[in-house]
Amino acid sequence: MTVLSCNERITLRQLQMLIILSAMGTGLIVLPRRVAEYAAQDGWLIVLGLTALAMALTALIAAAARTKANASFVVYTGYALSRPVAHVCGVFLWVKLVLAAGLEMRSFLVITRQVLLKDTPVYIIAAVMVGVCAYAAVKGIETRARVAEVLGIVLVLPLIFLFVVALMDIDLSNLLPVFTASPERLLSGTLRLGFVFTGLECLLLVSTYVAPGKKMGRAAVGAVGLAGVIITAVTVITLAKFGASVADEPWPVLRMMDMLNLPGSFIERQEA
Amino acid sequence: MYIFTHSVQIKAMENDKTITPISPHIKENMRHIEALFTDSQDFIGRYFPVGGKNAPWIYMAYVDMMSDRGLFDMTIIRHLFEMDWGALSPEEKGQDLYTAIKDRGIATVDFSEADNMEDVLYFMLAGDTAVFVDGYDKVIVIATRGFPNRGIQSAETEIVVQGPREAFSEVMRFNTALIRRRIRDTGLKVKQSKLGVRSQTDIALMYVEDIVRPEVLREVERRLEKINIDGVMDAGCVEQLIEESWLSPFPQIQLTERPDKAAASILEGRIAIIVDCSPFVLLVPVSLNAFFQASEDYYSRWQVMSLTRMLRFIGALIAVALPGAYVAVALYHPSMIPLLMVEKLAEASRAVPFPAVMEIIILDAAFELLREAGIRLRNASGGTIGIVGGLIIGQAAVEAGLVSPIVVIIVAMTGIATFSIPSVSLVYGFRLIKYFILILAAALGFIGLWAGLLITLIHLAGMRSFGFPYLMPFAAGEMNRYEEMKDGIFRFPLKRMKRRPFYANPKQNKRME
Repeated sequence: MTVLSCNERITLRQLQMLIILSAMGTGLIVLPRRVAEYAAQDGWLIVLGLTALAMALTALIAAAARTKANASFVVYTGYALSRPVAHVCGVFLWVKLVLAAGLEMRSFLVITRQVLLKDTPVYIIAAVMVGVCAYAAVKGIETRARVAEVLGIVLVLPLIFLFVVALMDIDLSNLLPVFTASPERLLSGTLRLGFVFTGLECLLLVSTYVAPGKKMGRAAVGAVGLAGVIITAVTVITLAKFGASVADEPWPVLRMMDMLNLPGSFIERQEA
Repeated sequence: MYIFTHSVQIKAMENDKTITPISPHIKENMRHIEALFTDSQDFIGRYFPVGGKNAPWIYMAYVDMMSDRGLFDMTIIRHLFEMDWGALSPEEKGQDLYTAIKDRGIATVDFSEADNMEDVLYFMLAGDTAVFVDGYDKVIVIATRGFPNRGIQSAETEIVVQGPREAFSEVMRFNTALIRRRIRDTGLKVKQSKLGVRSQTDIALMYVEDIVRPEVLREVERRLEKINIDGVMDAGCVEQLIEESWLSPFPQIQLTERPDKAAASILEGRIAIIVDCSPFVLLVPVSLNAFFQASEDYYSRWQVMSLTRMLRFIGALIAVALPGAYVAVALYHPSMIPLLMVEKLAEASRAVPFPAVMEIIILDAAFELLREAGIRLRNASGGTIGIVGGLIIGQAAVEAGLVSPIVVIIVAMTGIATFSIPSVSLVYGFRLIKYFILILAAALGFIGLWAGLLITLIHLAGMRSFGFPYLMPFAAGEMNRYEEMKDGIFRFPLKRMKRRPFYANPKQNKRME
């Protein structure tokens, strides 16, 4: 049955959602603290720098992926850099992905234990998470892309709503004065906090599933830009909320959400 | 090729199908048929001459009550008995005897001819009458189907306030006519075949030739051809035999009892599969979104129907997740709700000996039992069961301290939410998933609830119906420029719904200028 392909094609919108969701991992929860460590109230400039860097990298990856249509990472890398180098890069990417996934899982488990399940053994929560991820992996790329598309609406929109509510209770003077951090500090922060966009390498893998002829580069760069805007907004709101004390908050974004009072809502702990 | 032991007839095997030719000796045919119908008291066969003196002999056979007796008497018996063989003109006498009976002895245009015994038997068992003429190896088959049926009645499971009332019935030909009446286009095709080695059930595919996607039609035909079963009793059997993911609790084929819904779906490029003896028609392909659409949505104003549609989606979420969410809050995260509410919850459940999850399961099981009893005992008894169950058992359970009042509210809300979903088969899926999510939430609180919802979402995202993504247009809607979103959570004004859904042939995607 080939009305539509089976696990071979994803749409540009799905690619964008995959990129946005990948970029908004648990790293976002600690980002305001980390940028404040480098540039205090100017930390949001680091996020802007990170976004610009990520967009440039995305354009580069998209261009590389387009050198050989619908080829895998190893194939198009081999086309540009020879097959042995491509295989080494493939192994390196695989190791990087495993480590990044493990780190993401670890962060998630720590937050979960702190916020939701204090007494549940970590390995049980981890097993459930791995089970869900494995189920998604078994179902193939099209399924994962569709899930991302739905989650993009179901998760991101309420989050944006929460941050809009948070806007009502911030003190923008906490961001002043601007441009106090030195260019060296900003550059150093930009280079060292690249982990925020660590999910970006998913583009290396999923680009092969985008139908040929589509404007993948533009769509991917746009998605990274949008993710950057959201992350910058979260950072700005958090910095404006806590001011200089943000550096003392271990999970500043969670703390900020905990302090939210939604009008008409009976949910007390939005951070959960 | 081999010799048939009953007589000297020869059977030929063609594509695994046995072909038994009609013998020119009428008595051999009689013996053959009567041997096959031994101990079948509903079989009626009569050997008699027609046309008076020196008249030819014929043998008529049919199955009692499968044929329309009135039609039978008026169009066959009376004419054959009144036929005066001696009074025929010399030209007519010189005519072939078989042709003369066919042309002058049968007063109907609805007849056909068969040249093998298998076809004759199939038609007879479907209610037609076979007329064997001595000396000829062909049989006249007269359409006399007229078995008892309940006629066309009102829909029972897809009731609307505004819109047509009539529903499909068990007679396939009535059902095709109900659709044909709504689409008077020669492009509407009715492709008929048989299903079931023994039941020989008639099934028909209805579609508009230029709107349907040819590859989908081929796939439907291929899956139907693959079915090798002794009998098919209802459209539900066919549904299970041709769906993609038989392990899934969610329906991948839509069932409807409403001709207007079937006709509208055909105009969207879908295919209706009509199964004889079933009052439900299958519609393929389908998406999850289609199960939330009711016929009435298009007959009333869009603003009200958009609100109704949105309520159905919220109802689905409540039906699936509310018990799990309650258990997660009550057992793991009471701090997520205001203090006053926590106090009320604690107070209500203080005297209850069970944990929240057991309370939910006990009351939900009682609710499911009542629902089942209400289905078996319709009308007055069903209403009584509902009142007894809802008021007395619920109240008594609370007073006895078996469940807390809030659990009664949760279970009642979940039950009411399921009734807001127009498709019964989708509700069945949600009822099962609800327990899966409830157990996960009981084990891991909100993480379990979230994992359960995510697994359900992944499952739905991986499903297809005849190649179409099940979650369209909420996922992969870009492929049809999100056109179906206009008929999704909100129902846009009809003037804005100018294009057909993705099911339709891309060459015919415009339905309104």
